[in-house]
Amino acid sequence: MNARINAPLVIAVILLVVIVAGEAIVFTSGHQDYSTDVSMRDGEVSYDITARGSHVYDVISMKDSLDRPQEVAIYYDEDYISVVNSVSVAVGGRALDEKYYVEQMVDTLMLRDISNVRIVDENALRIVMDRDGDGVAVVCLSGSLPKSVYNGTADSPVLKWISSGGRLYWAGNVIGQYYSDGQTAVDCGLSASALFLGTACVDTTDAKVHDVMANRFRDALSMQNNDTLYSPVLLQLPTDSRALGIGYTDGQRASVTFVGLGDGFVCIAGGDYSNFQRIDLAQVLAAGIGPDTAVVDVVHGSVSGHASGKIPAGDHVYICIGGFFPVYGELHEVE
Amino acid sequence: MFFDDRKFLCKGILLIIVIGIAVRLISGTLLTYNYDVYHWTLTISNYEAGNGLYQTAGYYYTPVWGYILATFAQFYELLGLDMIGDRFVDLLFVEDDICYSPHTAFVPSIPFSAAVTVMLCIVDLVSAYLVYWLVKEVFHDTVKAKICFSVYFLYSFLIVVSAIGGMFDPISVLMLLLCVCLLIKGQEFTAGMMLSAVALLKLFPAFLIFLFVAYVIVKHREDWKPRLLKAVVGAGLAAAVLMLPQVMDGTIADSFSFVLARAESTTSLLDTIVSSVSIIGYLAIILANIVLAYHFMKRKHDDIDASFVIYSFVGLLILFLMPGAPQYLLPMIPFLIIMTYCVESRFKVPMLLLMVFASVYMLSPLAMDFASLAVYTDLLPMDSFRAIYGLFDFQVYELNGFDVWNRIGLVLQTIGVLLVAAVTFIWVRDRVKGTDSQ
Repeated sequence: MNARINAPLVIAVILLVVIVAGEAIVFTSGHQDYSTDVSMRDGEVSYDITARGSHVYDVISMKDSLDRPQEVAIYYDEDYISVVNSVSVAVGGRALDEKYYVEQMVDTLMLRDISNVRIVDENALRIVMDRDGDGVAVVCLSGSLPKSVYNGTADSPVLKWISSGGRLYWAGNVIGQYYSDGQTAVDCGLSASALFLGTACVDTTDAKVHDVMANRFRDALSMQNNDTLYSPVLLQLPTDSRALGIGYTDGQRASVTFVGLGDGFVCIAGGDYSNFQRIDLAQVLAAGIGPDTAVVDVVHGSVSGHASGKIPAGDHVYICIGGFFPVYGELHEVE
Repeated sequence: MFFDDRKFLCKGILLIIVIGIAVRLISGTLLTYNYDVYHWTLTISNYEAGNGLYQTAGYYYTPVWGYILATFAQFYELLGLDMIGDRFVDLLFVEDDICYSPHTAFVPSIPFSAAVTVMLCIVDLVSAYLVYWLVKEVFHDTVKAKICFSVYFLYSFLIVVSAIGGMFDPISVLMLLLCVCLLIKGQEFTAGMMLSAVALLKLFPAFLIFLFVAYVIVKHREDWKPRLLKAVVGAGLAAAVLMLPQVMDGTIADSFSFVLARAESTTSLLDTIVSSVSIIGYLAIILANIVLAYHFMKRKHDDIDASFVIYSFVGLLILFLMPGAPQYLLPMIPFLIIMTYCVESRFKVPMLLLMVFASVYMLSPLAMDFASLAVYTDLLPMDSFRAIYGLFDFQVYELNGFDVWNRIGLVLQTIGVLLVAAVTFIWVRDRVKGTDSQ
């Protein structure tokens, strides 16, 4: 009997098994593969991380940081014009328009344990901003706000909302320069940014920058976007401003900037749309960073199944698994 | 004798294997084209985060490569290797250049790049074995089979694509060779599954479908219908299983975005013209392959399996007369090598020239291949990397140095393909005139 092995058939079967196994892995991988926990003991925070596979992780202890937002609203309304520039994407990539950005933002926040996200239209945004802003985050990626919440004047509901404790996360254009009246964009001029920042100090010079801010956030949060277009010039902010620039810098602007306004703040991510920007915006929102936040300490390590350790205590601890290739994040309040 | 004609693993073959593996491991560990491999790391992190292959940006191909990456990542992480890459401040300047082959400050870790090299080395080895198997099965010459194995495994263009480029085109070669081998063995069901899988990995090999059908009909004149039915069932089953997640989460369009992006019209007149020419070109290629299959059916064959291999080569040659990215050409290479050593020796010079030209084209982002050496080791100081990068810092009209090399490489590779086409034409002409040189 001819017992020669049918080599092509054997190889084909092995290859098909490899492919289908991979399909099963892709299909079954998810948020449930990871968990983190912290406890306080003797002025130190003990952390525990559980993860499927092997990953790097960062644990950041912070003071004057913020609790996880009780509600996250991402503004998106096709009935109101957006003022953003189109961007090129990798060949084969889906066009990074506002709709796709918003969809991805929901997923990007979800992996950082922010699941209380809803997409709001103009009407719902107005309702959000009619209430107290404490503990509420609004993400605006449209480069402009609808007239019902912002009309280029100091009486705009959005400003009152921020002052009451609201957190406005902004990307896509100069903050405050435009508002949308249906399909018409009204240009209030660059000086209108002063309503949010205290002074008109936004430089619209495009800059892909090559340095990092010295405050350790860039490494701790594995920040990726090195664009400072639409970012305020930090030194031109009023001296009594609560302000924090993190990430990358050209010496004057930062890729992510927080500026306090009353009890709340605005957070501006520099640059036109990019995947790097989306990741950074989600990261700073999930990590509970505000204009007064400072790093207490950072621990960098690796986890293969389970890892634990200690870090000096602050107000909050943010644990991020994956480094520059994030797979999970979770914010913990330290009690 | 370097290659004996007995068992496969003779001293000569073992030496070839050792040399091929060593060259790959050294070059692939030290040099990596970081842009594509960065996207492999991004793909892995996206699905590990629960976003599948397509929910967040980073993966732009049909799903099979993503699935293979997932299995690969399991093995990588089982070894306890955690660091897959980093974003380097010292390299941010490279992203300021707009190039045909893009640059990124993300650099995959050396262990990750080495692991990708090992994976693709195994793929190349298996493909080389299938080349050996094919020559032995069809041309019944063990020594020539070993020569073809060796030439393929040590073909510099293949080494650059797999070890340095980290690209998955060698896997499409493996799957195409499997399709051909399985059809020759009469395994139509598995061949159909493999054809679906390779079409959902990289579309190019699927252009041979007409020839595959013709081969089954001609070889099995008495029972071709049930055989073709088995192939169709296999293909359908594989496609259904492989695309099921995309059907369930509504991302089918995203999974074909790379193919569709080539066919979309764009805003500038030049882009529209190029896009239209591409569409017309591929339609012409499909038509030519249909004509080729028809010719195969009508012609008398002294050796049907040998004819099948030769026609497969011609079909792929027709396909790759359309210039494209350098790595696309890879599926034609094993068949060109078989043609050279088993059918027509006049292919030798164009085969070797194509090897050099295609390697040059593939190495157009050369400076970026040194990035991992510069950021992860002390073997290349950052200043030296900047100096190497700076060699390409010039402008010719609107092209920077990288794009100039890329265009030169494209011209050279096209010349190489045309030389192969010329020899093919001469050989066919001689056959028709009955003056075959072999």
